[in-house]
Amino acid sequence: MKMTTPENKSDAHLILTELWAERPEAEAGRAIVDFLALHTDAVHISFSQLFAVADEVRIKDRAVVLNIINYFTGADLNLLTTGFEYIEDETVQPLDIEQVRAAKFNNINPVTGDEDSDIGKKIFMFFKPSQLAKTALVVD
Amino acid sequence: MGHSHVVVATSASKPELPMESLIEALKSRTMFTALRDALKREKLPLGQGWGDVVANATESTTQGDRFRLFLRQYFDEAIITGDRYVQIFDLEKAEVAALASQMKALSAVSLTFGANYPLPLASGLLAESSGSIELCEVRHHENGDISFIFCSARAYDDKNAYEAKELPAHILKTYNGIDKLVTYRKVYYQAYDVITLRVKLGRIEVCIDAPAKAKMAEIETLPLKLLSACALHVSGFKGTGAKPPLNLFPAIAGMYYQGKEGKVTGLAFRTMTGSIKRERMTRESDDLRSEKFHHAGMNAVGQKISPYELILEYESAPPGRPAALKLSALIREISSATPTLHGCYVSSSSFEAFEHSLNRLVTYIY
Repeated sequence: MKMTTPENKSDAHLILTELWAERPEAEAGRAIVDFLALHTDAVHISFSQLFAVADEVRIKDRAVVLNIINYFTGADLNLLTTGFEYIEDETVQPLDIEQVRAAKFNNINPVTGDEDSDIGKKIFMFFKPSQLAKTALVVD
Repeated sequence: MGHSHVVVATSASKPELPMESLIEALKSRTMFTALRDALKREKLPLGQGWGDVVANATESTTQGDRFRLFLRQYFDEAIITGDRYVQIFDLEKAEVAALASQMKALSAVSLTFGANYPLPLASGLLAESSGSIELCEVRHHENGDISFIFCSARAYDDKNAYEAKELPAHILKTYNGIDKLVTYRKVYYQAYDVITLRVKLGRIEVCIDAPAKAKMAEIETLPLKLLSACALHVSGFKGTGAKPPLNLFPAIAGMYYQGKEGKVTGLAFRTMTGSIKRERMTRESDDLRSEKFHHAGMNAVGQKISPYELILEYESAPPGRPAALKLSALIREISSATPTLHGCYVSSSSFEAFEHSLNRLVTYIY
């Protein structure tokens, strides 16, 4: 039976290899697993950071990294949890899910509380190691 | 001067240029310290300030002749260097060849600025000519590269604030007892924007003059205006602005992490531990990368940060004519799935150093 809940870092590598085989997603995924294992205390991981990690294993195709991020935030091998923040110029503010919903469905700017037709351009996603990552990836 | 690769008939061949006007124009484009360093290298009298430069340039001796020739050459280089906002466009081989032949064949005729060029128009005349961008010089470099120099009149706001007690009674009455009066005066200046075709490297560099004087929104639209003006002279430029310039964002982290790339004097970044930092070196001789506080911080976070702004300095050979390169993206770009930066800022008094910093930058773009 296919394993999707890793007990350690090697399990996570194995799952990736089984699923993605020779595709670059497997290599990028393994690099991100190793990176997460070293940074289980991280509270903010940006897209740029994950692109840089893939870059180190010479994977420059952004679509590959986006595929693996998508996979790690899903239920199958959930190593990343997502967070949201409001960014405008130098203002950076974390958002809870209610604020994100108000922005997405009603165009409400979480900082001003008013309607803002541009709000979609001011809300960004970031990542953190999931509970699973924090427990499983610290074991080789 | 590091000037030998520029071979053109420019102001150096116009001995009649009035020195006072040339020095006045130079004063608005360059810092005295940079000129002083250049005078020192040429073993010419330094003087204490601009007043002494005028005195030395009007001396009717052999030394005076050398001084005047130097100033003309220095000014020629100053109108294609200084502080600039640069966008880079990649070209296909066939495009390069077509553009090069069209550009080579052209000579500049500027109705508005031509009579005074390379000196700027008087500020009163600049106000009247606001809006027109005119080709004033085609400069052929020794390595085959070609620069178009466009002049236009641009303005910035000079803001002044007056407290109520400084204002005459009738003003206070007219404005119904205001507490403060803020005035804006437009200050016109002649911009020397440059488009350089790098023939062997297959790219165009659009270099906007004096970005600090322009508004942020204006800086983003000026390259396109300049390319449109260029297309009026050279049909090959039609459509160049339709494709985006090179995305310079990958170079921010790339250049920072390559420890020997220039000298980092400024950096802004986010950490995974939840902070946003902006760091500057006050001693410009040192590299931020090896500064004790920064170095310790980088070790603590396992060398992993997400930079969004980087300032690098390149020393020149021979030394004394450095170039500063600034890559400044918005903080939101590191959180974007498609991080983008369309231009950079380059400052140098040397064309060679200017080009060197862009050549280094491009090696980090993929």
